[in-house]
Amino acid sequence: LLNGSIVIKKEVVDPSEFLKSSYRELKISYPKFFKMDNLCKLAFLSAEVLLKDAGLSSRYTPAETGLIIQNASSSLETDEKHQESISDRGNYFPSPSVFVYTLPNIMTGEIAIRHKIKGKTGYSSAKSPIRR
Amino acid sequence: MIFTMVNELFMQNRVSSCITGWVEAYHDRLSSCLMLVENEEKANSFTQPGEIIIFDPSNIERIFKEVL
Repeated sequence: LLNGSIVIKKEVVDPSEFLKSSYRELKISYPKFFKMDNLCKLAFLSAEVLLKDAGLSSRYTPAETGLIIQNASSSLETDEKHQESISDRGNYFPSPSVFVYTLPNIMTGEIAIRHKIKGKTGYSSAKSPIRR
Repeated sequence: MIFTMVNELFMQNRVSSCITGWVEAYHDRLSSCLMLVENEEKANSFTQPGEIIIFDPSNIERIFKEVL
């Protein structure tokens, strides 16, 4: 949804497939997308939809725009994947391409790189997006 | 929480616009809601009437409840 209007509608169960097909549907050309974990892919695509017609770069200098993102699970899915690769001493194969995504604030970094944003960025963790 | 952090950046003149929101991906659970926060005069010059929502805790909570 963008401002209440549907941008992408899919009946896909697999999250990775949903993210890949959404990328294709949005007609984006950014090969680095395929190296990202699902958290970054989702953040990246959300920012693409949000900023597509926002004219951000024409209205603000790179340093004037900030990025603050929150979630509950941090980068846990990728953390688990990395942990699996290092838990067995006899089969110790950590992947640098996985390891870089074991910090949740990398999603703000990926968006910042894509949209040339150089302002303050931050990540915070919360149990829920809604106050309880 | 998000409101406090973003509001502080604006109050201290650290930013003139800010992308903020919630992005969650854990196994088969994906949820995301991002918003662009701007000073009113800049936003008014770019958007259509009615497209702007005041950035305050109750509106953020309402949007999250609707979307997430």
